[in-house]
Amino acid sequence: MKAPFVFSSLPSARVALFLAAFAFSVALALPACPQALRIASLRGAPGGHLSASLRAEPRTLNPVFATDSASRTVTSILNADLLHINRATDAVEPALASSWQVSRDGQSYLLHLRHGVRFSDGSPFTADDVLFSFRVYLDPKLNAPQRDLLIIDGQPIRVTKLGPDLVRFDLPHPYAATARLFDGIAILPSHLLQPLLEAGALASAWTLVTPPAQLAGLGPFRLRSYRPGQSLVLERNPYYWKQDAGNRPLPYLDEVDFSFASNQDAEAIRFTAGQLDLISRLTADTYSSLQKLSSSNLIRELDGGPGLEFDLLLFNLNADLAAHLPQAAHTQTWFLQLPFRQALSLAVDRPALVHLVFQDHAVPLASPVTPASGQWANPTLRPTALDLPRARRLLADAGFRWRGASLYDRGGNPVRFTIIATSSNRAQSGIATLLARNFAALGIDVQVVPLEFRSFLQRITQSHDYDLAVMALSAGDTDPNGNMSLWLSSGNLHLWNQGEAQPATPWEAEIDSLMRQQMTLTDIRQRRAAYFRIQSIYAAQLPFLSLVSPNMLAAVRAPLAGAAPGPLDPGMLDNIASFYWRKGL
Amino acid sequence: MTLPRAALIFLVLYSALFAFAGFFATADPAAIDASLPYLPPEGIRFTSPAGQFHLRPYLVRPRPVPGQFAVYTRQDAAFIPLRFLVTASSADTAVDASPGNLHLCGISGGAPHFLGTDEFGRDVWSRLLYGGRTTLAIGLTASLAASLLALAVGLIAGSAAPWVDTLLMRLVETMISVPWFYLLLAVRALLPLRVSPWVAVAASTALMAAIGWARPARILRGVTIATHRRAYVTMARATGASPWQIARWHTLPDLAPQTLTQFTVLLPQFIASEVALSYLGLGVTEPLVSWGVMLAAAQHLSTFVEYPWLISPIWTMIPFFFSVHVLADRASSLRPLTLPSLSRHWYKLPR
Repeated sequence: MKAPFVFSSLPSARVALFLAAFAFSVALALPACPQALRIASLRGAPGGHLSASLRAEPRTLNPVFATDSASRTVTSILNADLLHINRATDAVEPALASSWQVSRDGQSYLLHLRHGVRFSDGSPFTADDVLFSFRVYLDPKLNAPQRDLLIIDGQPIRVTKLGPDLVRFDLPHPYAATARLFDGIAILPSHLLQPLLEAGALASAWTLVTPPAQLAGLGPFRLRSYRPGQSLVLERNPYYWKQDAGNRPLPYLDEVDFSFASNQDAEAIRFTAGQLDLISRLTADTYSSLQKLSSSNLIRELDGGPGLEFDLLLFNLNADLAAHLPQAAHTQTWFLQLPFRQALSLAVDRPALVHLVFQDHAVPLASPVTPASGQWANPTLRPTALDLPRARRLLADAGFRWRGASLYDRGGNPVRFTIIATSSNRAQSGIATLLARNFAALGIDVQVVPLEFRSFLQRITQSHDYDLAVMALSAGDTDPNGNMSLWLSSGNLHLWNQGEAQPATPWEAEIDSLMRQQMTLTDIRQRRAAYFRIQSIYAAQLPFLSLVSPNMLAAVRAPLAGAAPGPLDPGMLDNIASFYWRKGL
Repeated sequence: MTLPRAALIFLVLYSALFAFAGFFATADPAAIDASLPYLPPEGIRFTSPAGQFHLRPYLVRPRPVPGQFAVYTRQDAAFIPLRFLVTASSADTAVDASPGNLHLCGISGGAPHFLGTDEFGRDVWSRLLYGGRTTLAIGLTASLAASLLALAVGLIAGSAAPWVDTLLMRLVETMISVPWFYLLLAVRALLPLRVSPWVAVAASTALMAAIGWARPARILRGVTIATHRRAYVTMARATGASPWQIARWHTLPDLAPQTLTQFTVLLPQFIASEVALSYLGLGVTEPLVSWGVMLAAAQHLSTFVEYPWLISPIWTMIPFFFSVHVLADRASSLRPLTLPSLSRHWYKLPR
């Protein structure tokens, strides 16, 4: 499921989406599909087994309560959604709903369900299952993480059954990217879960020890067995509703087994030893060491280009420092000056970061909207190039002076500050080290302080006791609506100045209003114009420095076809139904 | 020459290498060279590319393979004449090697990388020397402080009234039962964010010393008590010697070999602690360099396998620790300083 903007190192952080009332209407009427969904370009070979790994054991197999990354990966394979975002084209496509229509006012969605679809236990899929699923997701007592997404302006989406395969969704207000909301919302089997819901036992249902016969989903695979600490084995769902070009039922693979590896080194060792068939979310180091091994032609590396994740340098612009944190408040007087922030941006050698930290598997950024966002990235913005003379001029004009090689502010205080970074994240510590060296060229005494992740996060989000921080964020979606929590001044990832009751500056107020406006605009060109304007405001104001966006790196065993890294969850395993082993290799 | 003597000479020379890091280093340990990441160690040849012998050695610098990250080839390698006793170039702004400082050797327009470079193109040889200086300074200071503290506590506990002994030994037991490594982690995390790296280093050192004294103190107390049961101490006491005189003439000389042994046992232990703390990102931090900082960067599998020169601090530590252990072994078998000097003190007793 696609998640809103998240800390990329955290499993998941759900954030409410903010909506306003304007009209948006797109009518998409696709011909009603008879039963299975046929993928016309796909011609694979059936059979075979796939070994993959998870960084941790899943905590649950219940899609309603799966919040950790491992559980979400597994439940996304066991289940299916009504509409699905194609990870390659970023377009919304039919899934369990074979077509959909939007009313002229943009507030009603009519979804035609695919006929003849069966759950993995053989029982039929009907509109009642859709009704039941949304009842579960919207139940305030269960408080499922998906609930926030389906509550618009405090009012839940209303779901009405119009026929055995026709369902209507009513929104309180028009919403620009409603179709994308359905991605990742797993449809549950009411025949199995309804009794549990009524008994009040749904929250504890479908754990890892539930017998496979009591589980059912609409995904390409179903559970075969689970051995604690060792493996989770999935088998082919014989009732799956997709076909390839030759009308052969998908998925091709007979079996998928997940083992558990706690870190990337362990995964890489197992992969090179032939115990795993694919590994994804690789760091540049691991990727290049695998590249050096690939002369044997047994391994294929996949560089999916930049994803939605990006590394940034955060300025502490929080307004609550003066009372309790005199030192942070002292360094903040520099960061509050725009020329100082601009000078630091001009001192950063972004190509060197890309080359040394990411071994050229990254791109320098001009704004937090990474190239993976496609049409939403403002093409007129360019990453800031290293320009020390200009940086020095900006500082001199702002009243900063040099004594010897060291920089002093207008009041004669030496300019020195710390950069905090997560000690366990090698890329981020590396960026901090290089930035410290970059800023030393301006005569600034910078100290890097590596912190354990939890205390790092505590400083960023709670105590605000830091000067600068190197961290990574990941957009939850390519669509701007997935990035509300970063841009809105009240958003919980508006990290540079948290908890603003009112926008602290006129430009933050403008971003707030543009962001709310684009959400309800009918014309995609107008939405883009608004989002481009937001990015231009960002580039002019630099509340944080967007540094680089790392590429999505993965590796597979050479004969495995169909796997490609993707920016949205669950990454490479999203189209696992189309994976197959090429013969004769 | 005996083994301990050889070890002692080796240690002195070896330490000089780190003490004069500025002279032996060939580059600023923090200088980044984006064009040469993960450069393998450069060779030294006494023959020119044409095969002629030259007394002035050449540095053989591999060429980067275009389009590939950190891949170098020895084909068409550059032969750069090595120059000796050079003054640092103006580009060289090492932490304390100001421009104009003398260096053992260098090349024009850059720095030789005898042990290759790390992920940011920083010179491993220079980092090893500067890092060794930090690490050894921490280790020596902490073990010296801990040994002296242990000596004082051991002597007092062994000589003073029984209640003092009980009190001190319960304190020692408390210290020993503390999981000290986790305490170090906690205390380092509690340090304010904006302390200078040197203050952080000093705090780690002080903590290691403050915790490390307990075990040796217990041993030294035992030695003190054993000495006090000797006939000559009883005789000294009978002739009216004060506790201070007994300590000076009998106990302290008796404790000397054991204290030295404890010092040599603590030294490698504290060096390893520094490495472990920095490895976890809690000891020395950038831009300061130490062996722990260097090894922290080499902790990943890929680095370990592909760029083995990055673990050079390990190879540097092995001979150091070996020599120290040889000395520790010798120190424990030293005879107490008491015996040869006994008679001298005996006859000077006050009347």
